[in-house]
Amino acid sequence: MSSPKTYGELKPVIFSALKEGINRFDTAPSYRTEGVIGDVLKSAENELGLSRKDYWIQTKIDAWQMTEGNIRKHFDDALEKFGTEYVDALLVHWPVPEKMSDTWTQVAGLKSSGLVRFTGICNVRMRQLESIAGWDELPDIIQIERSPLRVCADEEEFCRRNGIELQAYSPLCKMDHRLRDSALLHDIAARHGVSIGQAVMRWHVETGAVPIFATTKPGRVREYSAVTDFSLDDADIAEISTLDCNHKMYLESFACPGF
Amino acid sequence: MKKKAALALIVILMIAVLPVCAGNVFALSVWIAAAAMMVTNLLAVLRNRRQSAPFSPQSEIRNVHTLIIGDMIDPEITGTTTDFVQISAPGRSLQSCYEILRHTHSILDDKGGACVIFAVKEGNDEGFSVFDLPFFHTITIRKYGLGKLNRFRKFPALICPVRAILMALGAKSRNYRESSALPDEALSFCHERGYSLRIFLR
Repeated sequence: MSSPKTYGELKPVIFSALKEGINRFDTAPSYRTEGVIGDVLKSAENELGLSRKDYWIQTKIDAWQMTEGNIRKHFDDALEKFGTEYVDALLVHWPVPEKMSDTWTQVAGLKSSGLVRFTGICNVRMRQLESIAGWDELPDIIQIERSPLRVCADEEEFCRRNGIELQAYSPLCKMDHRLRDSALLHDIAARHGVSIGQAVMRWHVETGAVPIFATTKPGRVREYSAVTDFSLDDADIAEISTLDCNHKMYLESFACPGF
Repeated sequence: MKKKAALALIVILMIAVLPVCAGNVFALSVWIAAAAMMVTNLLAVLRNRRQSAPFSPQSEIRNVHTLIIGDMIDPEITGTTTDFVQISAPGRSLQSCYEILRHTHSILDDKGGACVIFAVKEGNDEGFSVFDLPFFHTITIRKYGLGKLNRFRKFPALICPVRAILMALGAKSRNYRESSALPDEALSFCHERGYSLRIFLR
């Protein structure tokens, strides 16, 4: 849900996700979707008979909020927009070096007070993770840009070793032509009778990551929810991982000076 | 609003063009100067924008070997012939080079072998220009109080006309020599990330 959407646009997508068993919703203040996601989820409670425990709200602290410093105030604003008493996960969107320590202390405080169930950090590489390993309070979630074009094997291994959930945003790299036109991917997808999008999503799951995808199409939600209906073997996973060329769409330092 | 702006533009053009048609030499000179200024501005802005294109999510330029930041320098001087991204503007300061590096270094190959080159005029240690702003995050613009300058980012010819002309012409300086004195902060920044740093001065 990474760009402004209306209630009418999001309702069919979120309802479709909930019906297909996808109940986690990721946003950030900069996406400007917190309010509308909250409204749609309230509708889902009424119309689909769900309770707050049946879905997961995950939001973030943006870089500009970190520089302003008062994380609690920004978090309270988010709670008001969602119309909820807690969020399931609160992630630091960018590890702004000068502000990271202070922000993390405040985020950990929100978890201690029960307003946040899980904490996390986005957009970190091994250099940051090595420093995080020494913290008193480790994050529960690490969210990074990850796709077969950027496997991030070291980060995946770090998360597995430390019991941290690895989330992959842009899991299809916006279907970059190197994925879209990959004979290897087409071959693997054909062998399993799935689309290449489903094959890549399954690759994420099999390699220990939770893919976070954005869509406005209920059909796409149905397509990706079916990745639990098949599995890839070790050879498939290894072959897909050979597409790695360390390509990232989002340059960390451009969004996080001094990264 | 757009109609009003269009009407105002037409009136301004008529005021400017009518005396020219009437053979007024002064008005003609003013008109030519204004047109030259607009063209210069456009070329400078476009050149600056082209330099920031590799950093957009749509760009396929990633994992480059060398990042050249600074004044208008010929890559041949640095020994860099291919696989580099250049962010250059006339009169760029050392402080600005370092800040741009903090914003752009993720385009370098983090598997090692990456090189950063600063090209600055000796003694030009501090200050920012309008050509630095496309590379800066909002939090950096706030940190250095560059909000006013940021309002003019599309009008460099108005606030730094000489630099804008040099930028528009793509003027390159060849009078650079490699320096062995490297700025500590930039050096340790590069060292922590496994990049090598070279600095060229004129």
